[in-house]
Amino acid sequence: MWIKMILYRIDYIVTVILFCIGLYALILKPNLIKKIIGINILETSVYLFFIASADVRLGPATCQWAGPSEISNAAEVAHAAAGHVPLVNPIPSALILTAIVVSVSVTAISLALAIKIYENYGTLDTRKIMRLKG
Amino acid sequence: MKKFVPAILFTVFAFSMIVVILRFAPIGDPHLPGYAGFDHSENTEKEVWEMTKEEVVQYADSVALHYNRHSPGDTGALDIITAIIFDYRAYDTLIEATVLFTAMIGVLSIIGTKKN
Amino acid sequence: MITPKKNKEKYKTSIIVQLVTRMMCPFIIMFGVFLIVHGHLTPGGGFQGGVIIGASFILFAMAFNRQDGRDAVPSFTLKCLASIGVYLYISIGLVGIFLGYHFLTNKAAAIAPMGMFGELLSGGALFWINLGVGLTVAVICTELFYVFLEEERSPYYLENKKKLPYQRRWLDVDKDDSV
Repeated sequence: MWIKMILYRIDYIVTVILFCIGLYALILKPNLIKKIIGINILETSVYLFFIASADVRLGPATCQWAGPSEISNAAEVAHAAAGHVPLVNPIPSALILTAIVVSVSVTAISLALAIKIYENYGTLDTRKIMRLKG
Repeated sequence: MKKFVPAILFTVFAFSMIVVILRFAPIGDPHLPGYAGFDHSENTEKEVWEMTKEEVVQYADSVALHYNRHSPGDTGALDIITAIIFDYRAYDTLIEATVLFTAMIGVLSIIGTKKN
Repeated sequence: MITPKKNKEKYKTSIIVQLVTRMMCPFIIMFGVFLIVHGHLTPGGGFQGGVIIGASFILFAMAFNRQDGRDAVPSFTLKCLASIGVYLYISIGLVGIFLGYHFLTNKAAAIAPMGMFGELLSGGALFWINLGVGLTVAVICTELFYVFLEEERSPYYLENKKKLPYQRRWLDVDKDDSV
């Protein structure tokens, strides 16, 4: 019973574990580069959560239901789409595509700021930086 | 000792999140609340909690189902995800491209060299 | 294809890496262009194809020396191309306004010919929006890589490297490895 309950939600469990690893690195690691890696792991867990929640069992992916060779005009496609074919939810994929680009931007800016911090303080250790600033 | 306190705290945090997540619907269930909403225009007599399971499937209508059914006719694109991100939510993608552009400008202004 | 010049560099990669890179770079770029152009027909689109094209330039710079790669894609050209990609997207949206519809209207405004469903030139403005986004993302990936690669130490850091006060004040911090 418990095994079944967990196995049906195994992606969510992995999401929680990844989230905790990312949060641990983000909060407790003193190195700035490791903090940035922690942010990336945390974002990856959020991607996994969205994509796992979009899945429909035995449903085809959103690109597989109509190949260009089989269907030639829009009327037939609309007819095929009106039937209750259990497709995978396409919205989380679209949202996660946005999130990935924002993650890349945040990582680039963070790395640039880390370079500047290293030039000014000579270290990436946050304990030492905080001690210098008082 | 100082290492064990964060480990215990994160274990408690992970355990509480897992306890909450075990109450979710299993993966692959098409009746997830994010996937199936309800079309109230065709079914005005009954509320959602009064329906049987067959009626739930019949009147299920959400943004996802709308995209799956109407995106070829609305946009003319074969791939539904492209239809969503470049047609239905094109503002979002425009600002997304602008965010990436702004990140490049920010990195150039922070560590860009005068040589280039 | 760009032929590598004889720029002197400290490190040197293996001849196998150079040969495989020389063979694979055009095909990687072609695959990226395929993903961008077929964005409305197959999985993929502007973002994915743009990242693949940027990866091909990064591979070129890592296999040969980096100055050869920088000569092929100068910084000013990359900045101009990124701006052109964003402005292509915005101008496609503005065409809808000039025709009397909302911003970024696709099918009702009929900016581009809708074409036959499932063909390459179909989907109206989606094809051109994919081109603009792909151009932007490819250029920005390459530019970010080169900016991080060519980053130099500032003169402030080079002057104060030896005489910063942390050298003696951090001795007690280094002993404390509790975290």
